[in-house]
Amino acid sequence: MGLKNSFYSSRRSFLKGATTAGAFGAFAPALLKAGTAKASTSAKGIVSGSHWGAFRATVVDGEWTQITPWEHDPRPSGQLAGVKDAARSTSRVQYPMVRRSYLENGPGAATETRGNGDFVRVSWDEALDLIAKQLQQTKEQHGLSAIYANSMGWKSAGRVNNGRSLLARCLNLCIDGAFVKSHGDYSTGCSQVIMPHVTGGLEVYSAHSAWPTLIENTDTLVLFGSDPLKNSQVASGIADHNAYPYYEAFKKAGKRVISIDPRMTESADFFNAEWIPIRPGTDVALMLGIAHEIYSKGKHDEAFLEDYTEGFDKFLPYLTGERDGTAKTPAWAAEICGVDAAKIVELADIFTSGTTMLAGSWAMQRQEFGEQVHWMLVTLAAMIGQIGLPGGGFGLSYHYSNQGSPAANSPGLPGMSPGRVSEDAAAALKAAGTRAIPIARLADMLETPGGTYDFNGTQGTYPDVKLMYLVGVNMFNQHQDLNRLRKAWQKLDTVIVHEQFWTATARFADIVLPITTTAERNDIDHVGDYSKKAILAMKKVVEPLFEARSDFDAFAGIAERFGKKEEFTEGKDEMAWIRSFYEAAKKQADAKKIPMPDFDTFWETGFVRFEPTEASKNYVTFADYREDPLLEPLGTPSGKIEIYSRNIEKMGYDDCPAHPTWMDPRERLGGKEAAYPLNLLSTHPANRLHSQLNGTSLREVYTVGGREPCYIGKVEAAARGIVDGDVVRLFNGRGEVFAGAVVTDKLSAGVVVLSEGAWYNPVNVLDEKTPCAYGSPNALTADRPSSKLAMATTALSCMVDIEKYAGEAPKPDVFEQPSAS
Amino acid sequence: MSSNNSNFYNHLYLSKLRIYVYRWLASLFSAPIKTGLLLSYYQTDGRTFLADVAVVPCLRPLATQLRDLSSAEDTQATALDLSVAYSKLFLGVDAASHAMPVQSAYYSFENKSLAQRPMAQMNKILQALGLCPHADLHVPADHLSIELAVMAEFAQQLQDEDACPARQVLLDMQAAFLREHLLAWVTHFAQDVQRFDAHGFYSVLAQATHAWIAEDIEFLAASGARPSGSLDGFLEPAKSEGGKNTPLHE
Repeated sequence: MGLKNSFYSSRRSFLKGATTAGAFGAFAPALLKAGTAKASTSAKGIVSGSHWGAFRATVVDGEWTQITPWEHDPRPSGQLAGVKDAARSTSRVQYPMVRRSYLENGPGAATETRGNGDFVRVSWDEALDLIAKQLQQTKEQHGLSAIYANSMGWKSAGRVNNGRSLLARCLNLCIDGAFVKSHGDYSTGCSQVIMPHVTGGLEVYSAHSAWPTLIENTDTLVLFGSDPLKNSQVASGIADHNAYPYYEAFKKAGKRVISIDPRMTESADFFNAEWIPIRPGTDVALMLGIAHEIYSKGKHDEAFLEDYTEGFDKFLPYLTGERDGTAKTPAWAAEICGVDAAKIVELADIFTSGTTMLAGSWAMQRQEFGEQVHWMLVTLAAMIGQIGLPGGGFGLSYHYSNQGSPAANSPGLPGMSPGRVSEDAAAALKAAGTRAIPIARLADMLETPGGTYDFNGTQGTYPDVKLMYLVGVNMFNQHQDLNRLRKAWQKLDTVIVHEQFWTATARFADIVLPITTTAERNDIDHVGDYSKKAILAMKKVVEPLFEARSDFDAFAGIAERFGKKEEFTEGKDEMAWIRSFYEAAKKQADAKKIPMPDFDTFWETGFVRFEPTEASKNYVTFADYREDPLLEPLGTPSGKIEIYSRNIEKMGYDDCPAHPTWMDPRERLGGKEAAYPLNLLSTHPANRLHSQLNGTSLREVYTVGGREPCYIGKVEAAARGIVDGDVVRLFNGRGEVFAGAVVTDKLSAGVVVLSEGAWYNPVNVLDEKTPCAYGSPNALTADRPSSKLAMATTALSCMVDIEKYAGEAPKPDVFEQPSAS
Repeated sequence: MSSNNSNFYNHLYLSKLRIYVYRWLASLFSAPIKTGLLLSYYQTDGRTFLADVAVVPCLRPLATQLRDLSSAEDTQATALDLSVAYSKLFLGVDAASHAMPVQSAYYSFENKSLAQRPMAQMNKILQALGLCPHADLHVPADHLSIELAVMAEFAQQLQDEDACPARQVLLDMQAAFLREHLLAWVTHFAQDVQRFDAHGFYSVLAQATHAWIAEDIEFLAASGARPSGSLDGFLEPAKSEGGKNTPLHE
């Protein structure tokens, strides 16, 4: 029936009603008004930046039509396309949202139903009022340690919208810093704690010997689980990709590369490396076998050990077996690590025949007793005696953020200050032993409030946390044993999350604030975590979608409710902060006679570049120490590299002896206690940054039947009747995960790989043991501490089984689905 | 009543009806219905409004649904039910079963993204019309509520315009807009809503909207709109009739 046939007898009443002022207006308001909509066009290319690199964006009538790598990026990442896609994702959080039960019944309501998607849209004012009220009430009713605030993940690049600093700044101002923090991170938890005992520094983040020194001096580069080609696509700030030309040069120089890894990696392939497959979690045994061979052949550098290290004499009886009756011979090691004893002997010979750089990885220390791994690697390097020499020694993060790129003569760029905790709160939290928890002990904290724990020589008390505030972090990606975490999570009364996307963490929250992507706000940052080759204007590319606001604006809104907005913002908006950071950098530059344009010119141009110094091209880690150990002592108690640590000895931990020791993880391939046959490796993904960009079209490149790919060796697959493309079920006593099979010959026997960062997709949130339909490995990994020393994650100590799934597997539903048509 | 008078009232009625129906549908998609508004539908004005729009057959189920919902004992809980349903369907909370009310999401079936070419086109259209969303409406320009609101503005202009040549342009322009925008995706969108709406209300709303615009294009054709017009022709000065590109709102 057409409209003309819809006439009816009451049309006069309609006309009357419609012309009565306001009568129908409430039901049929005009949504448009006279004015000009914002719709920018920029054919020239707007300069901006991201973890995946700097880029130029073309915008036409408000649509971001093209993203092209910055012209000074020597090797752009293919992941850059995902940056544009992410900003336009249908997974974006659009408005402030509150879980319905929470809105109706307040904190703690029906927490077992978190994750079921029952959210209600509220206004920004309502959301900010609610957050301010809960922060205040939680502090007043439950004390200073009832709020846990965490932003320890890959927050967005940018110095203004630094979620970590802004969260602390806001809570320090508004609730006097009455919140519990975390120690360390999931990536390098063991190493961050053990290395200060061994070398006096963090090592995992500090600058390594520059690539030019390796190209010139290294004879053998040993990649222990390290895959720089894959992982240097991303950086914690803006990736520069400066290391890639050096990788090329190293390869061209014809240097020997050995990859000791359960996987045949992209880097091993690129460098034409010799691949030595090893059982996961057994690097310490292998290195002990090599060390024993070096020692028994008298090839160790006695002078170096004497002059630059402490405690080799206490380690030696363990190595030789004098103390425990087991000599750590190549044959002994071969039994554990699966590498032939003859190969271990050969490695000992190679390592001591020329200049050798031992490049460790972070993955190798994410295991039970992971503290031992980097400690043993440093010990091995010390025995070889090339620490502090060009091309030799060790590096623990050549795979990270283009490590080894020579640093430019660039001024420092300030960032948002986190402010200070009030003295009273700091003292009270310290007295209660609840100032901070080791980050990976989250579920322990939730399950055992008031319980005590050991950590790096101290004893802490788990706080009784009622409110969790998370910014720029996806806990349901980072953490292990997600079924356990889901249950522990129910204990929380309030979970507040700032998010750009509907990640699992957002879905398991009570209050979710929609946050802009870096492309929807202005900011500033260095290009290159190590090279600092430029300062980049991270310009807003497009207008924020829906009601997304920057973290800065969101926190300013909370501060306003505490009467602290002026203190929080210091009277500056986003652009004023950017200008102030730039001008502070320029002041330094002027003093050092480094040319920098004025701010307006910089902002118009989009960047200012800096050249690497000659000194940085020749930088060698520990060279100063080697040159003069007395005047340049290390930050350890002895001032030397500590192969034996008296401090750790004093702690008396049964799970972390005072020198590098082979400690058999409960879960490992070939281990005595392993209840499942396959070792699951949840390695860093090749086509995203942890869970970032998993929700983009990049997924088309790697998913198998819409699920995360699970790589399985030919032998293991054949034994289970699995072929490429099959839906497989991985399982153990902690959980089960569905994934898509990829059969490969690039894995050690008994190993399967399911990359971390796959979005957690619980099938039924009310089921304690519900499977993950998409493929998050952390539904399977163990949530147990590395040892009492670091209390770090042990994600790679994980045994599973796998089967071809014959039934109808639950469909992944955390991503956009195709339309009905 | 003379025939002339009857035509006048028919014309006036239809013109006003189109304005209010488009605005009404636009507002229902723009945000979840709050308790206050739901209660208003229970009041006299609301009942009258629903009764009036219910005379259009394709809108009757929607009017009935709203009348029933407004009569619920616990209006607050009913509004929250609607809000949860709205969030799951339209705000991306439930990735597996949402129907994004945005044309860009239906621009490519392989890659359902926001802020694609349809948004750019709508930005241009709004600019050409001299219109922008009210300050409290934060949606992309190709959101269903904006596209419906644009039709309401066209309907308003048509009602206000007496001169025949300008009326013809307005008729052609809004028919082209319907074809190139709403009709290009609302069919698929309504199917998705029907597939995923566990509550039921938004399925009725989407079906009503789909049926209404389908009838409206017929109405426009019957009123003299020509089927060959392209929106570009109206928006680009060089191509527009008489070379005019004056914003409709100034």
